[in-house]
Amino acid sequence: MADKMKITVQRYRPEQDQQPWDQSFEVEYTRETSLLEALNQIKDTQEPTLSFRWSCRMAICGSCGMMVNGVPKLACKTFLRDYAGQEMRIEPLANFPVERDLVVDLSDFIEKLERIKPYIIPKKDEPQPGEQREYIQTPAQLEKYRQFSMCINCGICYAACPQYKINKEFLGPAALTLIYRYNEDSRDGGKEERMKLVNQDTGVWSCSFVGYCSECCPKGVDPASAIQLGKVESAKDYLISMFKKGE
Amino acid sequence: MTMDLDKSTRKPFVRPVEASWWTKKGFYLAYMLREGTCLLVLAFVLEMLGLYIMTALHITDIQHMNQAGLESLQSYIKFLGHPVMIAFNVLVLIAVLYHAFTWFPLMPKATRVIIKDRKSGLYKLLEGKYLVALLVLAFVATTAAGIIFFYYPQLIAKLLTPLGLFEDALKGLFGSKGLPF
Amino acid sequence: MFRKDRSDEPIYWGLFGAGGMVVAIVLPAIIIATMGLNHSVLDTAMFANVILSPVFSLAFIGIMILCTWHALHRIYHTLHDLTIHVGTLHHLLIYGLALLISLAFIGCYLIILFKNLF
Repeated sequence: MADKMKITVQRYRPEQDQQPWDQSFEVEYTRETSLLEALNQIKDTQEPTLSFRWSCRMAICGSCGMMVNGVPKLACKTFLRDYAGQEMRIEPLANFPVERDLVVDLSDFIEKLERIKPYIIPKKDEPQPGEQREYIQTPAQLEKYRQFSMCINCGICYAACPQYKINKEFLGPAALTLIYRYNEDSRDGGKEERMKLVNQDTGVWSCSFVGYCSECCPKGVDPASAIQLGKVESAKDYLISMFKKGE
Repeated sequence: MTMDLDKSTRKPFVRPVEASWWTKKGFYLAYMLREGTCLLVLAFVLEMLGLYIMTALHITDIQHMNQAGLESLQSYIKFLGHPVMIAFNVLVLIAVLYHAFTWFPLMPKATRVIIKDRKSGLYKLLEGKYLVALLVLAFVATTAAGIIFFYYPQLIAKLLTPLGLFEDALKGLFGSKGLPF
Repeated sequence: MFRKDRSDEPIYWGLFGAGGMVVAIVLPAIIIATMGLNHSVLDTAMFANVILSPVFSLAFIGIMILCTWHALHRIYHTLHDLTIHVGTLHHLLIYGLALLISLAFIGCYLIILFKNLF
């Protein structure tokens, strides 16, 4: 036997709407119905023009981030059974411009990801890419950054972050977490370059440790922790630079 | 409606940022309360600065136990004991305790200790609860010591005097006059 | 200091962090003690003996100065949280006040120390 859920979706059609408006739907659901399935059910049977992003249905592609009753979540990892007896209100991911319905423009986040060079940069005295070489890493060295490498770039932490809401120049939780992740990788030699971004006012120092990013992260990455560890690194870097001034 | 496929209809809608964003969610409200505790901390610092300035102004009177000159210092201490000030200090205490118990759980996030697990042989992160426990322990010890020291100074003296060892050290610590007992 | 290529936040953040730890661990004891000042056995003579001690007095102003920087750093960032654009003027005013309060404590300490010694 299926229960019924009232789902209100914030709509926005740029070619005809001046601002977003609400549209409500009623869907039948079972214990297994995810929000993503419910939205697809709406699109297939009730409102074919409803737009939203999705791909993998298993919380690894990071496409279906959206606001569920004001909380940023992955639609594929959100189940209607957890909202039994309530209504659901779905909005596009907060803090990003809305393109259409639940589709947001993530280009600012993507640009920041590119800027921080989220890949291993070989150390200067080591063989460069293309040259044959094994990079050995011990389990202890892996553990230093493993948790922070679980990021799927879904943008949920940016929607959770009030500092990013207020100041879009802020590098933001995921980018700063990935900086820490690569800086702490024993195979990487790009720390000096990346620290220039970390040390800015718009780097780790824009974070006031609200901690909601870590609360919302669907992969348990804990960006707030990575940023505080980044602050410690930046403070060390600051002290060292005071003595290196004469260089 | 026919659409010209070459023409972009992009018109991103940017949602406005409201100054009241922190009132919209319990989590944000708790954060703002945490940040707000600093106002009461500052007020208490000023209260203590007043006491310290009064002491510095009347330092000669204190040294010579000049009763007439001591009166304004005593009236400031009396003012601190006024029910309104006591109520205010209770408020400060609540704020500071709220600060403390939002501060401790966040500390492990800024530290990382990797240990090797004896049983499994795997490397893992030392759990933050140990650091939190240590901080809470420090908090309890300091608060208890503070209360005992200020309310029962004789108790500490009684505990230490039989040993005879600390008498000179205590005198050095407490200034030229030593303890008044 | 005041370099273009990096933030000076590490200084303020360091003081804020140390202050936060002091507020959490030491301040409750001081507040409780203050509430009892008038009623406890701690009369003016007792108070004077504590305050005249160079060691206790130094510890006291150290605690108070760290609390000051902690509180004002948070105020600075909370202004930003309330979407007030914080610029150089806010920075100078807020951290200037922290410096002023710190100097007042240090000044009083020196008066007490020198009057006590000589």
